[in-house]
Amino acid sequence: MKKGNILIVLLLSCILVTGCTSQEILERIGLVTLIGYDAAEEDKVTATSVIRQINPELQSKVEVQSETESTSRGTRVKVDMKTSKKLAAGQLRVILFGEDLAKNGIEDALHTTMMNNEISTSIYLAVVKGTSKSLLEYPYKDVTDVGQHIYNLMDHNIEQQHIISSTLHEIVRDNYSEVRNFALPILRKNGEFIQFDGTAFFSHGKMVGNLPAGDNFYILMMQDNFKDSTLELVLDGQSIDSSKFEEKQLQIAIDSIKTKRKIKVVNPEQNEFDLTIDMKCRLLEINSLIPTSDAKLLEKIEKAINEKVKNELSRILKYSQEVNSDIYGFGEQYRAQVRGAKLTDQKWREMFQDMKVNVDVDVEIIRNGVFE
Amino acid sequence: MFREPKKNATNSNEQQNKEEPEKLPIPASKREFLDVLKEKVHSPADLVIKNISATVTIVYLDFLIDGKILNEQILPILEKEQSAPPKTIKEKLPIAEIDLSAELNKSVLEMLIGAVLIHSEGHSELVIAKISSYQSRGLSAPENESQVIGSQVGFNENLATNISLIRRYITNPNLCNEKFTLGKDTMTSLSVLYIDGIASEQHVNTIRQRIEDLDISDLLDSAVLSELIDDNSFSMFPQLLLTERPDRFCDGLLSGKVGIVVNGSSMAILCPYTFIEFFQSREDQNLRWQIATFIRLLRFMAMIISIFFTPIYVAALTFHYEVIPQPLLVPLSESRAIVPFPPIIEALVLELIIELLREAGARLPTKVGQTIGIVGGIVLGTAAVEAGITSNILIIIIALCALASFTTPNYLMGNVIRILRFPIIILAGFWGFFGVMLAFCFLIIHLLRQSSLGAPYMAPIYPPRWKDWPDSFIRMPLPFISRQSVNSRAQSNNQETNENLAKEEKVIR
Repeated sequence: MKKGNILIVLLLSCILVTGCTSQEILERIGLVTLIGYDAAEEDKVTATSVIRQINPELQSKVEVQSETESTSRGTRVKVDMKTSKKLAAGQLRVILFGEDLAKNGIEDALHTTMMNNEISTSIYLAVVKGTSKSLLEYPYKDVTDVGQHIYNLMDHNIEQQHIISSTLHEIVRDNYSEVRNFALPILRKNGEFIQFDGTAFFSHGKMVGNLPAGDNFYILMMQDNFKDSTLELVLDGQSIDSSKFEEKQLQIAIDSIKTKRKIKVVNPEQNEFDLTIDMKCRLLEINSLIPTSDAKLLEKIEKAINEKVKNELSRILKYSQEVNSDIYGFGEQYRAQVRGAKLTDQKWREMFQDMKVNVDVDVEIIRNGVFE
Repeated sequence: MFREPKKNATNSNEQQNKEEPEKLPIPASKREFLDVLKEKVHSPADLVIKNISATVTIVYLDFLIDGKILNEQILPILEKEQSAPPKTIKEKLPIAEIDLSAELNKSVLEMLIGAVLIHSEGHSELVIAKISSYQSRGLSAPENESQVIGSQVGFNENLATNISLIRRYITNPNLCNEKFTLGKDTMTSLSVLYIDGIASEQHVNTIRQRIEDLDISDLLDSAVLSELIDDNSFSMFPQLLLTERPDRFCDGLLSGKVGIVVNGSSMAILCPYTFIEFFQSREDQNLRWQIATFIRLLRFMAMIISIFFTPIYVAALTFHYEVIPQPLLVPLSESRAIVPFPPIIEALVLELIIELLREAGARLPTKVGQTIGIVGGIVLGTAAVEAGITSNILIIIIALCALASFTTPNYLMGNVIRILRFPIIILAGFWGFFGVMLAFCFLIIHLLRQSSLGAPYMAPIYPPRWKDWPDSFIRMPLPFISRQSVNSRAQSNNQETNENLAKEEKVIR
């Protein structure tokens, strides 16, 4: 009797509780794969969504819808009114911010995105030069699905360490840390293509500056260890071998670059850091006049690379100090290494700008003459 | 709750049984004897009564006895011995199984098995010459448990043949054979086999007691017996193994299991059995261990795929579109686009069609069976996709699941895996991954609670029996495998005797 009762309760709850979950059947929803936010008048936001529509008769197509409202949820309701299927953001892969909005601050947008449990934290974020609306609504000749295209573009470039990794998780982690800032890659429409155009530096959620794409390598090198990358350098030709080599510039390419980054606080009072970068690489391209079998010459080349990389790093560091954006985690290191540092947001802001960094680069060419 | 009324029934029946067997004396006069006998067996058409002389009469049931022995060994001697007393006849007849009986009921039973009753006028005693002949089919290859490498002989329906097969595999004086008779109406004989010293005494006692406690009217197949004596009749999972392979049966006996062979059934029972052992095949031991390990792991993977793949598809498409990988998104939704049903209905319909095909294939004669495959596979499958009733990706998934469920070496376990999908699909359609997890938890709890002859069903996973792991999911090389699992080992014998026995077995083989 008792057992029977339990069974009935179980069966009933099976049927009754079933009504509580909302069904989202794949082909009956419109999948938003990309959202672009732009600043509009009166503190409003323009949201441009790339929606994948599944169409039974025709080939499935991509729809780009744009609406302006004061909250992102409000824009979604407005877009919903224009689409035949209910919108769902669970398959969202990329969020783009227009340049104007980025300069006004994207902290709120980050916060609302994190609060939405539908959205994964592994989506990518990027800044668009100009407005994201114009980037997304342009009918590209060779791109059928602009959402997927941008996602793939970012995915493989981040994988190859060509641009800085900007997943929602990492950005929000840096943003919530009091003594660290974040950076985002910049996208730009270039004719029929979409391409990367550098790195945007943020300070307290607001875009404060940017560096061109060529500097990505050095930024990444200071942010973290490096696994595998390729770099093209222009060295001073005179310093290598003036007798054989008369041109002023020597162009070389190195690849299989592995770097190790170390930040050490040498003098907490003076606010002095040691930044050591160990770099191992393979010499890939060099002028044929230079004999690579000569060990002494290689040493000279190593030295030249050292000098070059060091200069670049110092330049970029100086720029980020100017715009006051600590995207490398010097503050975190300071807090970790100095006992009782009691760093606050305000304090570190001031400290970062007048900190002194001794950059030390140690390049080692482990192989040369590999012909592929 | 299930067993109690049965016990009451046994008690009342025992009382009846005690009253029933009244000892009927055998009438000394020939005429009277024949009258009583005819009344007892309702004078069937195959009852043969033959007057050898004025005094000696033989009675037997046609087709049950060996006519050759009767003609060559019994009749000539009886004709010589006119009016001899039963004792003399018994001594004179050159037959091994011969007996004297003064009790009619017992004699009639013997006649029903296949004995010749010899009555001599003036004596209230009968000579019973047991010369029964069995009509049985020849030994053939087992059809349901076929294997590529290894012996190709299966049990047949004859108890004597089956036991002789087993004895040929295991020449060991410790091989015990206990005979039981079950079923009031059928008097089916069955043998409980085990190897003394290897099998656990406790398991033998349990089997003995469960069989003795049974009160059934008839027993036609060992599968029925296995359901009657298992631990939990409400579970879907088989707890005792039914096998038609003598080598597998002997393998079980040698690893300490108890076996039951039922007359008239070509399947023998082995117990206690564990969940993992149902996924093992005898052939695993005949293959190289690396290959056997791969195949075993494949079977377990197939089981998991078979149970959970369709439910996960249903759950992901109904509730969790977030987890679908981006490259799959477009093909999945495009194949689903023209399907008018929600995924749960679609999946259930397709699963039902597969079950229909399987059942139709199993029931039809083999010659027609092939058509079913063509009709089902090609016509139904392609047409359903083209008509837009199902998506072709689901067809692939369902076919994969069906295929995977057939890799289970045991047919009964394979059935469970197929049926188990339906409730999980329904739960997945109701509650998504939450429902699938719920079903998974329920399944694990249920399996952990099961026992086979009181031995844990999920051993050696839980309780962990590390010594048995080399022969569970994987198969290590033979020297690493302990021959007797911890589950079914006799408690009294120590390691030494075990090793000795193992050596003996090797010599015998």
